[in-house]
Amino acid sequence: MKFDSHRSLTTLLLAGLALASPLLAQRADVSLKLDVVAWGDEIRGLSLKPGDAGGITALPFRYSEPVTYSGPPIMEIFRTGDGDAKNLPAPTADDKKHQLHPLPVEPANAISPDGQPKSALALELDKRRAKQPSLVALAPIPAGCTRATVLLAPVGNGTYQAYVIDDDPTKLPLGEVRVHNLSTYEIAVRCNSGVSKTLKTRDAFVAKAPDGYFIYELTYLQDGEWKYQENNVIPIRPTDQSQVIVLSSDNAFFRSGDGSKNGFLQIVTLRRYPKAPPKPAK
Amino acid sequence: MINQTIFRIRPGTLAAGEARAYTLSGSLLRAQGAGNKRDVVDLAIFGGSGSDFNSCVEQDTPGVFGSFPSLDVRESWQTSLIALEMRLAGSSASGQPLRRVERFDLDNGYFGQNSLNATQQFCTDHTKPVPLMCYAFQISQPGVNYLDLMPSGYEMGQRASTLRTFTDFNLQATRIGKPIASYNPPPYFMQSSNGFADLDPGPNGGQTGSAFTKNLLASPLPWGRAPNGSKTTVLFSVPPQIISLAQFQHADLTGDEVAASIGHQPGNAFANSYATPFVKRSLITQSRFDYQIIGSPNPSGADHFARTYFDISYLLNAAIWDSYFVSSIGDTSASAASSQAGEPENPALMIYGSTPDSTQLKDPVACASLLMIDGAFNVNSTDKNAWKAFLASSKYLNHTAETAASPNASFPRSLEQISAAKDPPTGTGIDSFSGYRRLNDAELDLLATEIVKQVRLRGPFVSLSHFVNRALGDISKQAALTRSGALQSAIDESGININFAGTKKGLSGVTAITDRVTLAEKLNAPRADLDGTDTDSALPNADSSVPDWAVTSTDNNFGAVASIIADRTLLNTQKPEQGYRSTGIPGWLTQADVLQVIGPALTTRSDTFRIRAYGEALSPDGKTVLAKAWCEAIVQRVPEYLDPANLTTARGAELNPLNRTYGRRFNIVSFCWLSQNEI
Repeated sequence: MKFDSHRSLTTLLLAGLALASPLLAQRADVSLKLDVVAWGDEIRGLSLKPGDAGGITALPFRYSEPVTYSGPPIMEIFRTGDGDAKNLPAPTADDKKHQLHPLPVEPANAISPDGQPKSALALELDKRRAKQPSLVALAPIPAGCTRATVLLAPVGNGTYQAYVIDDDPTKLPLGEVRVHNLSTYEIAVRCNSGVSKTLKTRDAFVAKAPDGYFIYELTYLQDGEWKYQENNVIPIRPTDQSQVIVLSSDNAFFRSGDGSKNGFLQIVTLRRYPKAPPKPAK
Repeated sequence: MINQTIFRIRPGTLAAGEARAYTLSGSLLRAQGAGNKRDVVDLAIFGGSGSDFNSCVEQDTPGVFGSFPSLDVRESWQTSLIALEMRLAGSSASGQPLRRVERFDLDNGYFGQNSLNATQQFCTDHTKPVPLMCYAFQISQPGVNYLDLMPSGYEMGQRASTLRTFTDFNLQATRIGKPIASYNPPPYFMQSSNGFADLDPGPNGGQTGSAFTKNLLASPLPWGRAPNGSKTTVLFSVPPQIISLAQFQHADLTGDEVAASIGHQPGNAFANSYATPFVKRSLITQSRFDYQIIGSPNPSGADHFARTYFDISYLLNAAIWDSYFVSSIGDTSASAASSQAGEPENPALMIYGSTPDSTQLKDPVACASLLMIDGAFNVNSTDKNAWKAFLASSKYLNHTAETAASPNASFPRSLEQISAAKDPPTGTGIDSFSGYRRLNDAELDLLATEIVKQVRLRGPFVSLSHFVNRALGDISKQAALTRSGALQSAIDESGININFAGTKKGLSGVTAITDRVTLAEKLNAPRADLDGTDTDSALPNADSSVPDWAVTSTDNNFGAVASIIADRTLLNTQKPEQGYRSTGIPGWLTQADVLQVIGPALTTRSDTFRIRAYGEALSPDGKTVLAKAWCEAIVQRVPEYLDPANLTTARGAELNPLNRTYGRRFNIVSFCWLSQNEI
């Protein structure tokens, strides 16, 4: 099956969430600390409770301030306007394109009232939004998770689909790095001059960072042909929780001022510092 | 900030085939206003700490700002140029460099997207150096989709993203420059980055971001596009023994009126025949103009300098093929270990006459009279089977890169290729970058067929250089004949590589459409490498009827690699004539590769002839044929003159009248009478 090269993270989430939804509904409340990351343009005005002021800002492809959540295992995410934004930049054409990438063929396991195939969680979101229009996403929290990264990918109708990464320190030790493939391409990653690992979409693995450096070589499978993308070195501090995420995106975050892209696939490094990270550059 | 700064690599050893990256070994703080002071910064081998941006050149700025500064990398008027030079340890600065590349342009113009508008919080947080822009240059490689690294709306061809890197340029050149109005020195592709994902400075600054370290540490980028492709390519070698003229394809014979060993002529110049894009097809030399932006105080000024561009392959072929040969005489000294001492190492050469002394064999003039070719082949042959048999002479030829002899005919770029050939060849993998080409029987048949076509089309060839070289002519009327010589055209049109139309190819991993060179024009001028909508301050052309500068750019960046093309129809109506990006890789069979094998036996004139004669005896009245006779003689031209009074080495005025008239002697090798039915 061939995939469109611009499918976003949103396309990866449907199946998993659809399966998770009915199960999580039966679990007890959870409590954890999490980071919300925008998988596209910056998202302001987010909150985890209805009626809150919307003080959470999800920065594009990077961490902002972590937040604490206590509540049902299907976390509700709300959005109220643009929060405290004064001059929110208009999305670029590339950003819009990124947000509106057509969804790939997914095994949607339910049909919406208007006849559209959807995942069960997407249907649940539609149902709850009828009562709470400010609800924009549902994020199923894995059982036992005490720390998480929540990626929010726009789906074009004002809602988001969430991809939750369990960052429990036992699963991602400090000083190591977890590599995710959130692109729609099969990739192969050769770490620290070792054996190459093949990752299908949504696969991940944890790698060491000898002497504080994670060295990788990245190739991807396109039209039946493996192609070389790049090699690089990423400094990994022993005090940080670090994740390297491979994706395909047209977002401005990955473009230079002249509009240049930085490769066929994009690489995001999310680092969770021991203390709250400083505010990012504008 | 880095004006007059010299980044220095301390003397060291770089092994053949080794690639090594360097970065700054420490920091340098330059005082304000010290732009004309020469500073030397030592570089260290790039390691894991290469992402540490604290090792950098900083400009001290003691001033106090009333508002938060906007940081940018723009230049107001002129370009920022960086030259790279590698020279032998201890050599003087004015001496001959091993390699000099000038000049990489680090100017992205004026536009605001290059700026970083620092906030108070940013300044508070980032107390260490922060990156603003990363420029990266790499040899333009076939197969790489450089659109992934350029702004949207760009097309392949801009920024030297499609070139015949391995054919039109000299990767072993000492001096690589910016010909005509190129923005950067081809065949280097330029990428510039300033996106946050590329240049994340870290929480407090002091980090370069990933763009700076990409492809520098883990391993060299593979040649070609295969992920497990060759990290090594063998493009040139110094042959341990030379038995064929075409082996001089490895010699750097490039040069012009300005310098020797230059980048904009073919690295494998001799014995090849592809038309260079720098010279019109109708010419072999052409006076053109190189440009240099002069900058401040004139924002749109540029000087131009006349420079002669040469079709160096044509000139070398014309000068050498019909005047020289390789005797392949081995070591004639008494201590020579070889049992072949004093004998030609090329088994197709045989000593003529009685065994000469070694002095004669080593005499560059005399030796030609002492050697003969056993089985010379006339290039004017139109016998397909003869050509096929001739080409097949390298079947089962052993090569050190292979463990067993192959039944396919071998045409290696060099005997030093380190990988085996594949059938079919990939064009993308190890076999095509560190290996070489073999031709199977079907390919030999196709090649022989096409050679015969070319001989009929272009022959008869009156000299070997006539056979080897392309034709000269107007590209609008004689595109095919002027594209390359007979042999190269036959190779390409047979589909062993890729044919001109793109309908036949022998390289399994290459497609014609993505392999085409696609330099382009815009508004009747070469398209800018940094194109945009800016049309102000156009730069002056030496010849306004043939513009070299682009007319649109991002912001005063009118440089265009497409300006190198002399026949401007190649930028529009005859684009396919630009050829293919893979041309000249070791897996792309060139005529020089073939000539290395068959060249020593080629001739355009036979020395051995079959002569038949017929005679009649008539009756006394002359009306009746009393007897008939047929005879046949095989005669062979030999080095001696008809009159042995002149030595075989005598020339011109040294010859006596008889020899001046009749020349070399013909010996009758055989004679027989024939019957009528043998005629």
